[in-house]
Amino acid sequence: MKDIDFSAEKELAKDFLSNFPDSNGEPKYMRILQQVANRKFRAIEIDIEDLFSYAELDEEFRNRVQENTRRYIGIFADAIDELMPEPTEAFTDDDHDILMTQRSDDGPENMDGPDPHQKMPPEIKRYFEVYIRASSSGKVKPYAIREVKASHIGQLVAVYTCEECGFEIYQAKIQELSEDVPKGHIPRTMTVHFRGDEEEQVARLAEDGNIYEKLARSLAPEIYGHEDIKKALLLLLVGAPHRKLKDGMKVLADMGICAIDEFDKMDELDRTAIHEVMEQQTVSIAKAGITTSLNARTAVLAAANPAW
Amino acid sequence: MVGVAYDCLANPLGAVRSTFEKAIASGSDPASFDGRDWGAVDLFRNFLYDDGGLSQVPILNSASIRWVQPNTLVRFRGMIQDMLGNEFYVGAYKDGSVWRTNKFTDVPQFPVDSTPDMRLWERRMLYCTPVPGQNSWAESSNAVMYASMESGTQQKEKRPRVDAEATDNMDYDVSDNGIEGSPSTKKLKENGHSTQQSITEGTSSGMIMAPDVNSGSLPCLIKIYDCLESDLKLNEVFEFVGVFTFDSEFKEDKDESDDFTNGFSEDVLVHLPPNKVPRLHCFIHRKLAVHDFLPCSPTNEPKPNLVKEIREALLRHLTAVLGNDGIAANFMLLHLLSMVYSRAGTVAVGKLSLNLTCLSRESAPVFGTQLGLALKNLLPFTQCISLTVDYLNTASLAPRKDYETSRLITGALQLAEGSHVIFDETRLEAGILNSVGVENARLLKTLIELQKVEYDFKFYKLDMPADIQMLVLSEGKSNILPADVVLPFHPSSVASAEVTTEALEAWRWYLATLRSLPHSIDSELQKVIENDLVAARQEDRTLGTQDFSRLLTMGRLMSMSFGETSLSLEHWQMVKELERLRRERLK
Repeated sequence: MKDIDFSAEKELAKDFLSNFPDSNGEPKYMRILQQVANRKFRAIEIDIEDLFSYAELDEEFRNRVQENTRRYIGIFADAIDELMPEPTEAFTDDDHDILMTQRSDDGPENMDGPDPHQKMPPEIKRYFEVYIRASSSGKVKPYAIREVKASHIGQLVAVYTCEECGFEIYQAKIQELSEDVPKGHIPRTMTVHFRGDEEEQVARLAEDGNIYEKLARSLAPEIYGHEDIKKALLLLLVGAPHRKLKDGMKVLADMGICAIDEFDKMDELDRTAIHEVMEQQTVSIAKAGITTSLNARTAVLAAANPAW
Repeated sequence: MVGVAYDCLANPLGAVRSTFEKAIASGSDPASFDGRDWGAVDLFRNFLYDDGGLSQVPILNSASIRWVQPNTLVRFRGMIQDMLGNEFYVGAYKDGSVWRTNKFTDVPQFPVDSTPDMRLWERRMLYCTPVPGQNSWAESSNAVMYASMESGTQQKEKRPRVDAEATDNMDYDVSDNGIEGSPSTKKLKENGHSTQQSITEGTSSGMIMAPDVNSGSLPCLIKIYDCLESDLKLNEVFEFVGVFTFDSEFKEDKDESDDFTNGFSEDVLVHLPPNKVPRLHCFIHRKLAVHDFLPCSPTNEPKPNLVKEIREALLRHLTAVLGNDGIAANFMLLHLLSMVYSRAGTVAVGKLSLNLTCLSRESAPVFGTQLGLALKNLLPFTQCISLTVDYLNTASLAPRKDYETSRLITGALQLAEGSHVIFDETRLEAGILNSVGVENARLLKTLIELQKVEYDFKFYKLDMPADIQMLVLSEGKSNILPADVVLPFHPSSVASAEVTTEALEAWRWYLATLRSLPHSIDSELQKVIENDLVAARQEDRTLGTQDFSRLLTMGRLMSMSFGETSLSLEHWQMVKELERLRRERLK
């Protein structure tokens, strides 16, 4: 691990943050910092794409950021500390501010110096968090789980993510896709930890009263309207209690969906068989002297044209 | 340690360190050793194979774990039952001004400070168990080792063989534990020779077991270094030689570690603590086949005349075991030589499962037991599964992943290639199969038809290839297990099968070795076979590709049974005749 010249890197970071232009030519990150100063939000996301396209930064710097992401988050945070503007709007003290004021008041008497907070690590003093966002444009290739190795510790790694992370958890396990598992091996898993603001995001999602509407609308977005049908489909997908997402893992693969069109054209006998599936989630079979009742945890989606 | 021969057996880590120091002293950069050997493994390879040291290395099993010293060189034979992922460890680090290495060990010898001069390397963790269904004659013995231990008064114990099965009187079989438990281990405890017992006295064999293993069999956590992943696959059988570690002092709630040894291994190791499951830091691994389990080999090359004699004797033996039914004996012989040697798409080529029918509730116990015992003596890995409705409805056949413990929970069908299983359907009565039962029936059918087992990984199932010889005993033709060959069994007498040790050894060698003979059919004979198959189909429209494939396989096996590598006309005729007799019986 090469030694990093922290102060030099911090200067580079400051330069980037002060000057990187957005599409209008305005300094993108200074605007963000102002918002943070005004307590509009807490997360500062630095897009790795921006680092790539900023002319003043050489490739080496970008590579260092990718290879030692954790350190550089710290460096960027230090830079932001120095660049943070004064708030331009009034805001009420949030819990964090009150706590900080209290702490400095409680400080020992014999502590003098300009910074009453100086004994506290910077992370506690800060009311913002820095994230470095991995590239979404495909410039940085996501690693498959199997490829993540020791040399990648501390590096920025984008990994295939599970499509739905459940509510109420801050940790999820992801498993290799079946097609990525080499012959004779078993799938690898990795635990994903959510930090800080991400936890809140997930919790907020859970509490959002409108989540039903939002999710329904996000189903088949190319189809406009039919909100009721979409809601029904959503319920189908999420379904009965035992299908609820557990530990953030996808349960969708566990059950099937049986879609039947022209349900009214089915003959009586077949339709009653389906009724058993829908009502009891079982199906009875008699064959060659063996009768058995099988679980059929299938969601049945039947479509028919209205009678009138 | 200058110029002194390395003590590979008693102090392998010393050899590792010395070679490391040498490599550093000659100017190598520690960073360059990531994933590579600096000469340590070569040293062991020379010692084991060039200098004949392998036989001196004790075999780690539930008996020897009592006296094997930690941090010595051991070997372990087992099946890869689970893959526990990779572990990061401090490969090289600077202690002051000196570079040190932690490779091949769990606990660093010198304290490791978190310095930038630290190299993190990776090693792979494999959970291995003794091969399921391994028969005692196929287990390697530690007799020599035990005899040479500094026990002073103790001499080699001649343990009398009480079990009726084998007349094989291999003496000093200290490692034999079979399924009966270990009277020999009790003897070891009484002898209590070693003053430096690292295993606490009174440890019953139950303590060092992981929960899912039969008592008397010792699993091992193998740590593999510098290895291509493709080398070691699930369910393959290997011999691992390396450093044995086992920490009987380990307190499970103590968190003594630097993050680098614990942090990234997740939950898995919590359930495999070092005071219950031994670790083996592997220098060298070697894939094992069935013939590697033969205790001794009378000949290296199958000479045709020798093979013929052995074949005849074995056939006589099988005929006796099978109540004088010669046709059954012939099919049995082919069946015991069968092996999946190739896969064409989904088809597993080379398998020949056998279903003996007409076994009643009365005759089954007699012949079934006799047959079972006979096969136990002939093949290294055997099992017998009695299929009842209850069994089908409750058994865990296919392995499935448990995400709480991050472990692959084994199932009855997780077996090493070359294993033999007898499925006894004679006690299968009418009943209702629940969803587990139906699923199990499906798994069995897939296994016998396609030689693969679906492992359950919750979000998807993965097919694992299998190579299991399957013998089905039933009254009528089996519906659950449609075998390649269905043969009504017509015994006419019950004979006891007396065998000599020499004969058994020869037959074991014969069955283990001949199955891997190469095979070819010259173009002339190909023409003959073609014509024969066409003619057969003209007579009987029901014959299809499966039948033809089966006949070709039988041809191959018949040829191999004579020790030949090319199908002869004579042997093809024999196959046709055998098939004709079989079909006669079916009428």
